[in-house]
Amino acid sequence: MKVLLRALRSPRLAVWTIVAVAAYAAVASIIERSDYSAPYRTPLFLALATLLASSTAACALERTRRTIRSWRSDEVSPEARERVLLKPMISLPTPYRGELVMERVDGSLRSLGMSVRRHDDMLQARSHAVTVLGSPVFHWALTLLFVVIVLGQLTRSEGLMGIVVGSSKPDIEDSYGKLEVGPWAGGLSGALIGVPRVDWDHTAGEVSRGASPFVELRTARGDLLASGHVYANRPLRHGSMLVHSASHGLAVVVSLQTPSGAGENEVLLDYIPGQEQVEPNGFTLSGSDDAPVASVLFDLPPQPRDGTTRRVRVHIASGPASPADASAREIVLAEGESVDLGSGVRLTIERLTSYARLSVVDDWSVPFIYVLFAVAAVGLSLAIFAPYRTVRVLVVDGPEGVRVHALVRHGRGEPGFPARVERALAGAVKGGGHGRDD
Amino acid sequence: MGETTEVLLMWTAVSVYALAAVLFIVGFMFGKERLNALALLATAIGIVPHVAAVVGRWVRLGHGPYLGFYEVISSFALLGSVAFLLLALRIQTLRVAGTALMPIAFLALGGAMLAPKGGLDVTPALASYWLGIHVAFAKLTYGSLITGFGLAIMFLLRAKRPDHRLLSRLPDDATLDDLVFKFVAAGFMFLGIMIAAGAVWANEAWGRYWGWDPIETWSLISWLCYAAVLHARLTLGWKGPRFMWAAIAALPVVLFALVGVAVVYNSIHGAYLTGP
Ligand code: HEM
Repeated sequence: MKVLLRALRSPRLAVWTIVAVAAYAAVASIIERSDYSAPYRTPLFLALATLLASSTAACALERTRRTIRSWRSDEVSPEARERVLLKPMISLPTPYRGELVMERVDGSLRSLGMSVRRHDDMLQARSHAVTVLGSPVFHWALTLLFVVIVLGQLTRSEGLMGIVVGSSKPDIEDSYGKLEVGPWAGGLSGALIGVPRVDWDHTAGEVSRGASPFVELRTARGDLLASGHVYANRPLRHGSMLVHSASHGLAVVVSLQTPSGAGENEVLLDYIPGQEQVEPNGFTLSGSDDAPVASVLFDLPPQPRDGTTRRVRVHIASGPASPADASAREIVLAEGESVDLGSGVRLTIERLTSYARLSVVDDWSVPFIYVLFAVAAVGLSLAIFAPYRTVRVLVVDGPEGVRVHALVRHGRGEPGFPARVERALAGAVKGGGHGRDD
Repeated sequence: MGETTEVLLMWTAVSVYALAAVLFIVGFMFGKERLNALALLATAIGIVPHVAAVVGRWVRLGHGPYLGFYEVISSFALLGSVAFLLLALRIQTLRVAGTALMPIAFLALGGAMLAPKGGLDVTPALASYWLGIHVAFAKLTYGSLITGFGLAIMFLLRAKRPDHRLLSRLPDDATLDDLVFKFVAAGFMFLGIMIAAGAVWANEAWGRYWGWDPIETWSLISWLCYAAVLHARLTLGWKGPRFMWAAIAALPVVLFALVGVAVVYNSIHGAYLTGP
């Protein structure tokens, strides 16, 4: 375990793993031009990502240990004192002595925004406690991002369902036209998703949002959970559920009278972009012996669309023939009209209306991801712009008079920092014309 | 302001930037401080018609300069030039960096002028305040990373010609090295925020925060490249020329994410850059 941890926190391994992930993504994006996310489900990529995540975790752990150590090391070891005495980075003569030097040095270090502690004849100044946190907080946030993203992907569900205006569907597998469920996902919520109306030219925030379905989310018992217009950049949320408007089209609600009973069917028709026509869509009817009785296909009669379509064209083929065949019958029907399909089956157009296709996502991980983004940004800005800094100052009373020795540390090795410290110290400890000069 | 006036102003800006770039380069080659100062003046003069054109267009179209390649690159060149001017006025020793930066501003603006200039609409899909955040951080990112790149080039040039009159006025190696690190690190952070803002926005717009769309992928690749550069410096101790080369080598990746992806891939972000 220890060996593994040590291997994982090797800085060289970290750089190479980062480069390898970047190179993998670059090559993948050049090779795979249709299913963009396919290369990120391969075992090789998952292995690389796992290595990067574990290595980041190992580094974060290492950084945290060091942070705790440096937090605790408020004591100054005899070796540290020795280093300041023998190998100072700054050594300044001063005419002041005793408590007065200490006071002046103390003041000058505080003027640099550092907190100062006294250890006998030594002063130790440190930047604010949060400055040690930058790097560990950033790397932990990255590690947790990996974990939360993976858990989210394994447990989320995302699907598309078409809902005829004025009706609702439960959030269950059968309601979806297309559904992707993560391997560890629990069941779907079962909530009722309803679209009481669509506003064809909804305006919000002075921008015309186009057709916007009004969506209601209810419990299975019918209690309202959330509702609102849904349009681009404005999903409806409830808990971990997010409902987007994906598209809309025509809906034909038909009833079928057969010798064995009655039933209802919904046919959803999508507009072909840029045309006054829809993609034909329909269904096949089977008789009691499962043999096909008739197939019907719906589209629009050739007429200009006047906002609300009042009539549909029905292509009917009897038996196993396809409605696209030349032998198929064609009939244009309005709401309330019906047609005989043969074998005692009668089809009635009950309603011609529209439907909204909604994208329904259930992903609890998103808010956590957002929070981790924010934590990472704070950690990183601390690490870069406010790194940990220390100054140790020893007042040395030697044969050539009193000198102030200082050792300066800057987390990023910023070359300007020692110079700033030196200026501050020099200003405080140098003798002035009147013995004092501040 | 009409489109003709705008285009005239823009071409004026392009020409003056070109002059500034030439003055910077000639001044640099012959080590003439006067030319260098003149180049800085030309930069300041070029900014005036550029600002006028961008503001005029903003008022005419009713949205900021972030829709379409022309607006994106032009406003980016503008912010870059202004940032450089302010930096050069504040820290005189950095003036010579204009030799690397102004040719980039000139080429970017010249390139932007070749793109379609028709105004795009803020479609409902774009109408989100995340767009503003995303775009603002994109500009900060490219500004910081290109500045880091320019200073890195200056560092390497001086290593070759230490007694060059203008280069020798740059801050000493250690300070310049630290400055390149800071620009690169800041650019890395801005890029991270830009990617995160893009992810939040994608979730609002499409219900997914990440889809491995080419521009998302290439932004992540750029971010990882800079993470590697920063690690090389902080954990492997790369300083001086090696670090400079790394900072220089990473920039083309970012530029590819900015420009190349829209051209090479048929991405959902493509229309935003190249127009419908
Ligand atoms: C996605 C992966 C990673 C990214 C994006 C990343 C990014 C960064 C950045 C931007 C810095 C500079 C700011 C800072 O000091 O925190 C940094 C520093 C550092 N990183 Fe990473 N890192 C990653 C993974 C790793 C891994 C796997 C290691 C393990 C070796 C590691 C170890 C370090 C160390 C030791 C520092 C220097 C910290 C200091 O000097 O205080 N990082 N990293």
